[in-house]
Amino acid sequence: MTEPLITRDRAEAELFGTRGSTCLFAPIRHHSPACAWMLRAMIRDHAPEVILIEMPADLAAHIPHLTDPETVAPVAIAALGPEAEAGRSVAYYPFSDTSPELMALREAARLGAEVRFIDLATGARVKDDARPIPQPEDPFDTAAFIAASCQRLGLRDGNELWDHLFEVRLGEDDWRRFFADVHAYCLAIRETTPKGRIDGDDTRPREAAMRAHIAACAGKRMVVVTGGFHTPALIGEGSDSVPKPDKSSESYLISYGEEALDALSGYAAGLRHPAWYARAMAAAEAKGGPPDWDALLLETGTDFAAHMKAAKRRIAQPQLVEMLTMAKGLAAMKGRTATLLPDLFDGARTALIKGQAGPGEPFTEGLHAFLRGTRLGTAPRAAGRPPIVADARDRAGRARIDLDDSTRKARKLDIRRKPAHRAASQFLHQMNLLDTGFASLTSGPDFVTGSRVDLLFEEWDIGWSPFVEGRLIDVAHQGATVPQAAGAVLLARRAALFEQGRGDDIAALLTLVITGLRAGLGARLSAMVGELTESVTNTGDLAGLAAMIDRLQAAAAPGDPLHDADAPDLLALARRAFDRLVYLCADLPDRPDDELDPAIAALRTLAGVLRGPNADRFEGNRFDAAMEDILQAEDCPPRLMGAVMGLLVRAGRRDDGDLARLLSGSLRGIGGTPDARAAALDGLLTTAPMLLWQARAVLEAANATLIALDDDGFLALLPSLRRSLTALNPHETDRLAEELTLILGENTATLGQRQSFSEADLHRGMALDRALGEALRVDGLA
Amino acid sequence: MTEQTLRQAAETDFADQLTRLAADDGPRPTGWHLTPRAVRRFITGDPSLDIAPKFVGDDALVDRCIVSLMGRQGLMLVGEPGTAKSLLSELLAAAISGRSTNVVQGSAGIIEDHLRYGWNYALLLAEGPSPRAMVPSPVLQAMQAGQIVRVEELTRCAPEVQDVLISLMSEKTITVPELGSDVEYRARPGFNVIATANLRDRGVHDMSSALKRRFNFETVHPIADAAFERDLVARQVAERMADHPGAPAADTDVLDLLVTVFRDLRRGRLEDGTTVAAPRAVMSTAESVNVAHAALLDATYLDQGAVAGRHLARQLQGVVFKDDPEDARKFRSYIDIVARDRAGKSAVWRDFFKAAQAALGPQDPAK
Repeated sequence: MTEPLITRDRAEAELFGTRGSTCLFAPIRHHSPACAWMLRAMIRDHAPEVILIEMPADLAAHIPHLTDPETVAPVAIAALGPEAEAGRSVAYYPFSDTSPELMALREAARLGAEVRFIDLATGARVKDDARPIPQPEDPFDTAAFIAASCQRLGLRDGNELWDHLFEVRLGEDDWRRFFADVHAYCLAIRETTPKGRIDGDDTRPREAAMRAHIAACAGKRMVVVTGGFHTPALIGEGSDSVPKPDKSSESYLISYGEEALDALSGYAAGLRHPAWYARAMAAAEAKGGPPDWDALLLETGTDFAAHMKAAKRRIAQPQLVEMLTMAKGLAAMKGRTATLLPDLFDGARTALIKGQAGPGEPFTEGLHAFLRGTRLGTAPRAAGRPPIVADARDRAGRARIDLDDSTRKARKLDIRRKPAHRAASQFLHQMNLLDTGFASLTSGPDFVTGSRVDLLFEEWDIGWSPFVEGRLIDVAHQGATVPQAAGAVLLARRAALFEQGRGDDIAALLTLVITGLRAGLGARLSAMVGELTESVTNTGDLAGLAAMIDRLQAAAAPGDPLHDADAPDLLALARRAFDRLVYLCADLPDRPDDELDPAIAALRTLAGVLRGPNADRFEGNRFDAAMEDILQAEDCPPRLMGAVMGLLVRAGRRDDGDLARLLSGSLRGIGGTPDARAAALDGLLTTAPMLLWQARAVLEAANATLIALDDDGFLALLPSLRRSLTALNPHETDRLAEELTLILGENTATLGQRQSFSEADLHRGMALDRALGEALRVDGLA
Repeated sequence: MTEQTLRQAAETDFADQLTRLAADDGPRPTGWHLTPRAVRRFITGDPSLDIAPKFVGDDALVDRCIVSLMGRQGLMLVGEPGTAKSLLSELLAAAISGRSTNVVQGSAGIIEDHLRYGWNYALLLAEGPSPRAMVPSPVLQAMQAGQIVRVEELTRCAPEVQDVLISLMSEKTITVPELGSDVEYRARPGFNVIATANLRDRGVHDMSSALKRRFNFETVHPIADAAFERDLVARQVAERMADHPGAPAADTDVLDLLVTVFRDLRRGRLEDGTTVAAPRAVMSTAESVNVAHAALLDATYLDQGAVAGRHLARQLQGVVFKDDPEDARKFRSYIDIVARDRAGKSAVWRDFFKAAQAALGPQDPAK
């Protein structure tokens, strides 16, 4: 038997017997309900003049707000790191109803005791390179002592061991013994943690600072609340001096949530499944002593079943009974009266899964989510939120978004007909520009890329969370309101474009403008629209102009879905783009071949706009005239000719006969290569394929031309023709074939039929095959 | 005097451990030979009583199984083949009932009588139906004695036969109308059913949901810890080789290689995260013991030397990649890429790689 590390008596002497017993140490685990309970008892017994808490000294300004009657836990102090390229880092110091620290603050307020935060200031701790994590507590799971104890007691891990030894004592009143045991436990953890780990981070300087604060209070009745891991280093009296709080940083008290408290979500200092511990604490408070664990189990089980039912996974009553019986049985086998988290999970696993268990199994996932909880706290108004957070909460409230629960919910917005919905949509888009993760658009019209713009509704997936507030605090310097900050983000993106030398990229600029309009930031876009106007006046990008005219249909005039009366005049911009495009048409016939395709596509786009409901915004006849000029141009490439002729016929400016003449002339094309002869057809097919079957004269002329060719001529042309006709989709091909059979006088009904062979055909074929085989054999060729 | 047999029942093998554990004086469910905590220590080990762990890697699973068996629900162990489901069920039965031999071995040939009762037809004809002429099934015997009955490979039985268990498990009674209208056998406390099943293999039947409701399901996963798997393979191979005293023991490096190959192919992923195509063949620990055993025999009697990589390579194909050409292709790519790479760094792997390449033959250019 080895010497014990510490005895219970010595632990009590260390914690409560130094400094003439005026100073009591409370070694705690953060967010532990049992520690909070015992700490309250200790403070009430000891009635200290001052309570020292392991929190960064520069955050002391938040103390009154933490005990404000308006405060609903969980809340957190968000401390911002220094300015950095990737944005400022945010460190969160959360408080929940099960936090011993919050309990100490509340008791201090009740007693009128002074409270001091005694850890190093955040500014001295926050590092530039990494997101700071307060008080990492993986020693609670990794220390060698933990593994050995788990093995001996038949427990699974450090968390179960902690609960098994300490949380089961929630509601009891012997705080001396409890803290002595926590002290022994944490001392063992510290002793079995490699020294390099303690020396490697800022543990030592932090402990020195805490010792100095304790020394500064010498003589007063005090309670020192720190993580149990640090307590052994604080008991001895040191000669450290209190560091000056020079490196303070900007910090705010914000609402926090249970999901964020859960260690799995990335917050490394805390017990997992906060909703479970909150339930246990509430049960103890209700009884004023140890909770009725069986009743707690039953209540948790039935609430879980209701939670799963809402998620469309019903748990039959016998299964629920089996789950709870299992949980209780497992707890009993481990020798405890309290049914704890691992028992619940194991019970659910055994009773609910009927098959092979694997990752992502819905009942276990459901239980995790249920015990993690989604409740959000409230920071008091007096805490002074950064204006942007207040503004965002205000706007979210007006959009009727639930700020008390972090569950993500679906929301459908009728953005075209309901102004309130439109305002909500703009707010959500602004929040997206700020990259808050608050909402994501799952379906709806995308005016930025121009896809599915016919959709009437936007569907969103929305959930407020502490990280939304954290991100807002991070961007608070961009503006006091959400629209202001979002506008600043747009301007930053514009600046980035200029830096990349893309200041004249009209598509990129237009994307920014439309993004802004969608977020209701029209009034902030004048500079950008001005630049865009200038770029339009100088550009030679036909396709860009046509796309712009097309996309601006969503916002240019009153009645357009994105129209904003405060925005600069976008109709003027669209008209200017139209003018420029018409002007550029004149040199189309001289453009090199490889620029022709995008140019023709641009013409088609613009012609589409001119056929659409917004045609009256532009002087369409000027475009038609420009098209006529192209046709008249000498050396106009046949493909362009076909395309333009197609557009003019569709616009009713030319008749079918003109097109028929062009097509048959081109197909006949004496001396041209087959590709050149098919070029006019190519062009037509890109702009107006339907004319082939809608205008009988066109098809008849083309057909007559092809029939007139001799076999060799036809065969030479055939590959090019086939290539051209692949531009048609299957439906269009059918339409064309139908029309052709009518012209050729055949029965359309036979067209789609499969040819079949009779038995007689088969016999004839086989006889022929045999005869051929025989002939080959006779000739010695077989 | 004990007769020599290939394998003893667990309660015989570990009789002294069970006796030591019987001294535990905690609360004991009626009909149980040991307290639940003693059952746990029997299976997961207890150094203070000099009891070695017999099923390692998932103590929580063992806890759940024990607590399940205290209730009214049966226990259904599911999982990939070769994950020691049968071993666990045997250990549980031996510890709880002191008897692990109430077994129904499931197969397509099982009929209702094997789960209820049959008759000694000579006696039946001579005397008419009487308790003496009745042949009780292992299930009925377990009910009468208040013990655990094990049904191995339940999903290999036809669904209508499986369904016999439904009423039997809810009523805990078997009626025998042949002996009279009110003759029935009621289960004594301590009776319960442990079934094992394979849900993914080919050639198994589905279970009705009525039957599923009467069981608590526990999934037995392949062994997660590589070092433990190697020790287990070493131990089991040593047991099998006990009859061949002349054979040299297997080298750790060689067993390491074997376990690594099996783990890589089972998980479809190397330790460094690179993915490999996982064959459909069952790459269980039990199969790796088969391979090691065959390789040892090959080395001992044909090569007259210690087992090396080449022996494993030769046996792997015969034992594991029996019939699926697709699997053979996957194995070849594993050899060509992974084994070739490792062959550069280790002599055992080089030996393995060369022999595997030779055994696989030249690459078929058509593929």
